[in-house]
Amino acid sequence: MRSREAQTLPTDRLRAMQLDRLRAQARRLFERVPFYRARMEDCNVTPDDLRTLADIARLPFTSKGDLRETFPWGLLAVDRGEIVETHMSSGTTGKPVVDAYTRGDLSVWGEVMARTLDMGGVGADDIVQVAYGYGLFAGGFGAHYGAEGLGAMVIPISSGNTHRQLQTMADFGTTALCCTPSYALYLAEYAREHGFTASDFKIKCGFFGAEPWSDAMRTQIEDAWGIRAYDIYGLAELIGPGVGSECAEQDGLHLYEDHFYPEIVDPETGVPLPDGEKGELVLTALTREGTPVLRYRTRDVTYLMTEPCPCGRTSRRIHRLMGRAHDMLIIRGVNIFPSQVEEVLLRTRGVVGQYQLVVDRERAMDSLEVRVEMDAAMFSDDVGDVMALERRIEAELKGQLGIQATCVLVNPKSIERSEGKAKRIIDRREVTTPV
Amino acid sequence: MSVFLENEPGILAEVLHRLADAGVNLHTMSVAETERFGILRTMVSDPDAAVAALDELGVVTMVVDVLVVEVPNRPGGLAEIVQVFSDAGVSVRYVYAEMGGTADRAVLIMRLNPSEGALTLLLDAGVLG
Repeated sequence: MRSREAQTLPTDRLRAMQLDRLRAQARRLFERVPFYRARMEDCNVTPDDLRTLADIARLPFTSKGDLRETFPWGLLAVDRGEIVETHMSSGTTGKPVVDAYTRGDLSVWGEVMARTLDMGGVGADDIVQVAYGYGLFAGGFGAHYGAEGLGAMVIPISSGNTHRQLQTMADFGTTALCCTPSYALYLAEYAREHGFTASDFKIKCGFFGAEPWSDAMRTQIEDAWGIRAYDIYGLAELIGPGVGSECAEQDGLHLYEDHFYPEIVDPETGVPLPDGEKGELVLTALTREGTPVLRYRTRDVTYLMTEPCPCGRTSRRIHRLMGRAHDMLIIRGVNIFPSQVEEVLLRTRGVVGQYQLVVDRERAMDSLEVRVEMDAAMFSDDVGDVMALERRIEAELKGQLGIQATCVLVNPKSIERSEGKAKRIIDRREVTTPV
Repeated sequence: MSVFLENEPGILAEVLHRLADAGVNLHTMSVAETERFGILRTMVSDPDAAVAALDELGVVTMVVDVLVVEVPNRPGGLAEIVQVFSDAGVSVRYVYAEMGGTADRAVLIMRLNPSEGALTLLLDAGVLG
């Protein structure tokens, strides 16, 4: 195990270390970043008020909007001259979010990503093909620094050019692949269609992240490639990939708690929830120097798993992401995420086409309609076949969601898209107040 | 060919307009409908042009083999034919009649499973008159 001591620290010592680091970080930000000082003053709190870890709840949250408004250097906590690299998240709306790294930040990044690859069994003899994009997007460089830290051989091929990806995997005997889960599936499909066979490849594991995916998709990837597929978690606002990752148990993602402090809060009220309860993940960068964030609202919904992991690491784990906070629907008192619908469609159809959840209210009764785009593979001109498909999807939805939903098949590409992403939810439950 | 019709007002009209614009003539047509969707089944003058026009519209189509049979217009005419398929273990998935039959002959369009060899069965049975 990489950095065994840090990763297996007894819980009481880990908490003491986190408190020390939290105090130091809050102090630095209070003194060096006017934005944070003003926020703390608004909340009537100073770094000296942090007596226990629970006192973190007194500190202000940081939102993505805050990061955008302070673009580009508003949250810098060191002199510009100490920054050696920057990455930026692709801002689909508004200004991008800047992550600026000092030499020390890069070394932490390399360390946490080395732990990530090490969890999947990667070592100095391995050949790691990094098919995440290299550039402003942090994925490629993060995986690169991690593999480099382990002394593995890195193939920095970046994203795209599918045929060359596969040819390179075959030519060099790539043993570990880093890319998005959807691209891993696409690569497998392309390989099959273009005459590659299993004997052409030596791959044994893959590290997939940067987009939400389900357990059903993991099974597909593992079967298609004959590998172990690990879910990795990170976000540009914290460091990039390397906030947490799955160990060989593949049961939740270990957070690197010596560097990132996790909380789960109620997405509506912001009130901290106890471990084990589902809510929005909030993260604080304990050791970052360039652009550390305090209590960052990730909008990712999960819960903290505290049971000891058989792997021996003492960090808490997050359950693989269950959705985005603003994507959560409450229908007849049940929490519903689009990702659950995605899982059902993957199971029943083998592919995730575009889909949309339409929620309506009729006579005080909420209804859920799941629209699924029809495609040639699903179509039969036998009415019975199509109705059977609808019924099968509905039965699976009932099992997965716990509430009745209606499946409606619609024309391909008829589901509204914005910036290439399908609009997943339409909620028509408007509460009208008589004037 | 068969066309998936989602449950939206005007979708059938839209499909028919697109086919007309592509110069495709409809020889036969029927619509099977359920509460949530419909399926248009039609024999067209130019299947390739029809599929291309409807692809562009963004609807799902499929081209299927159907059997077109002239049936004597008398009691039991269709029963004899269906009996041949039943005896041979061929199932009739759907059947509809062409609009332009004559006084002594009806024209039926049948989708069979399996469809291969269906015509031979009828010829061998001598039911086509």
